[in-house]
Amino acid sequence: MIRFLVKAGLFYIIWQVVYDLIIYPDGRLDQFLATSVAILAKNGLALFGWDINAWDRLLVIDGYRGVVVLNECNALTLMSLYSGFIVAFQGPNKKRIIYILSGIGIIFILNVIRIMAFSLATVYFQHYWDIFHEFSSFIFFYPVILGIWYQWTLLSEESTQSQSEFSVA
Amino acid sequence: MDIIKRRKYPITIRVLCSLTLFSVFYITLVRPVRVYINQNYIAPFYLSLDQTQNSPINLTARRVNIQPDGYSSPRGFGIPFGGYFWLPFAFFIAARQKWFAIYLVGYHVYLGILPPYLAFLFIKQFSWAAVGLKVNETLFQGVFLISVFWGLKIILDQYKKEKNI
Repeated sequence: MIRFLVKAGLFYIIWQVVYDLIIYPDGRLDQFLATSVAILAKNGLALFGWDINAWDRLLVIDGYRGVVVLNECNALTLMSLYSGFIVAFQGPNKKRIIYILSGIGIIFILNVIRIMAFSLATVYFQHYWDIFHEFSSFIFFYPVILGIWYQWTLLSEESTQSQSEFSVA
Repeated sequence: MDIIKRRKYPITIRVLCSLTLFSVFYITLVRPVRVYINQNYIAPFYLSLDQTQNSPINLTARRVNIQPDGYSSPRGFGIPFGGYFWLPFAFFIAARQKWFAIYLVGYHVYLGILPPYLAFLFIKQFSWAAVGLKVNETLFQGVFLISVFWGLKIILDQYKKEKNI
């Protein structure tokens, strides 16, 4: 447990320092995530018949307030938090890579849905938009992340058990 | 000699009671105290440091944010023992994980010391403290998520054991 916490803590510290000193000043990853999420959210809502426009990071449903996808809203931090757990918790390495990549993909898709929901919130409950925004992670991200982490720990326990059975045999 | 045995309630009841009790405790007592302490002691202290206006300070009810020129987003710290403490704490108490609960308390005591000091240094133009504050924010979220996960995992394991799943 302590080893896991130290590994996860180190992962988060290194990630944040790398982000602050390299990724954030470069800006391209943040820009890519924000604009791609905005475009996909726009296309998603247009598919359901909404009259919506997107300019760079800004999404506007015709006649309502706009939604801007800031760097803090592009889910990059959550992707790193998610990955840190998978990296730090013991388990088979091949599956670890699959879990990290698919988890990041899932978080990206969830963020597109979240931004779509933010746009719809400007239509249906603008007064509660700030509260919705504040607690959106608890609705869209955390249950899924915790669910995948749980699957990962089960997988890890299974592989540990099968390894110990193999060594006994 | 009398043997006093603690009555065993099902884990579902313990979780419900723990969440309800700590929610009521937080909303009625802890939250107002956090706001009071921030507005009457912490915020005035940081505002008094910001006399040069080089580091504009934004205050919310339970947070101090500093955003000097050149920073796209504010750096700061929240008043510890907020909802991000009480939710996992309630899980640990329900699951009777004394040591996890104590470690969590220790971590939030630390949050009341180091991040405010980093914010102080940041206002005093030590730019590296901005990185420290960001690292602290990431670790804070990580500790919260891992604590909630661990609490829920133990609760789920206990539930499976009770139901023989």
